[in-house]
Amino acid sequence: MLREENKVTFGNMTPEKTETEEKKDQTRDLIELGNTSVSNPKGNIHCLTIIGQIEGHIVLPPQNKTTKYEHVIPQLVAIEEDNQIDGLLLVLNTVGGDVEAGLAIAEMIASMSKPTVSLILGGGHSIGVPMAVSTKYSFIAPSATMTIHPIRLTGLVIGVPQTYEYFDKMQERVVQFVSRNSNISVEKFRSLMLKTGELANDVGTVLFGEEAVNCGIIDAVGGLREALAKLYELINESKKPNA
Amino acid sequence: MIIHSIVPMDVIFNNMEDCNGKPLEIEYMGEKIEVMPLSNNQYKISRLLSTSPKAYLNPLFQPGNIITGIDLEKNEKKIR
Repeated sequence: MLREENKVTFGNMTPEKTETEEKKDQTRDLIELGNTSVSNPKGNIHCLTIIGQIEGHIVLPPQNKTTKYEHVIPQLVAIEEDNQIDGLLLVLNTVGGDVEAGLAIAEMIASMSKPTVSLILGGGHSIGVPMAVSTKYSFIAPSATMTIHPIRLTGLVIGVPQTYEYFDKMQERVVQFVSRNSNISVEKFRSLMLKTGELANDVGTVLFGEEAVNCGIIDAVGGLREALAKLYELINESKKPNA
Repeated sequence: MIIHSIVPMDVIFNNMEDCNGKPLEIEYMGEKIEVMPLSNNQYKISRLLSTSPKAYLNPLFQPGNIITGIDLEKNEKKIR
């Protein structure tokens, strides 16, 4: 026998809730979980926020704010499949994290058929870069920054050439993904990654909003208004029957 | 696992041992979830164990969400 809970579907999960409770719940979801769906006549969009560290195969200690890939990946499947959702707004403010998890999320977003727009606020560093370019169109806030630097074990001297080769291969996956999904060339991106003199004790580059656009990683400088306008524009285009 | 982050490794992995409590697997609203017990008969959802993509969009199952023992009593079925 089906349990009653099993029959409840998303969208009318708690029909007995009063309007104020519903509002309270929405606010709580927004504050604590950073996840919300917005609907209006122009289309329903889902907002997914990528914050803090991207958590990979190891659960990070509790003082880290994390984005859990095992939760985000099925969400992306649901967003792609749900016919009530027309588009996805990806809001990034991340310091980086696990390479595999970050690339997994980025590849999922890049292969979605629904309109997707990303907006970088604050920072989209390290593995946040491939996630930022994975959407169909990307925005960066004028004050936001992106740090592009090589993958390596911090503070450790690379002992054997094989270790270097391994890290180089890992890095190549990031470089390839970024150049495939944005307007920057492989060579240009690699040169930004290995640039000296920008970071205090490291190689790499810090790009401000405008610079990220100029070198072709991000499509445009903008904020929430521009990002939403672009997303609705893409939704509108996708709704038109194919000529 | 390779971390590609601007935050130094020792900052990320500081207090690694500081995880109190054992995770519990329970059934809640017809889905299996993993929770961390907090004080005051409350549980914090640490992950959802489901194969239904829609369940992942349900705000009730978001990691970090806190559920109380009262919610659980209605659906209580401790698996581990």
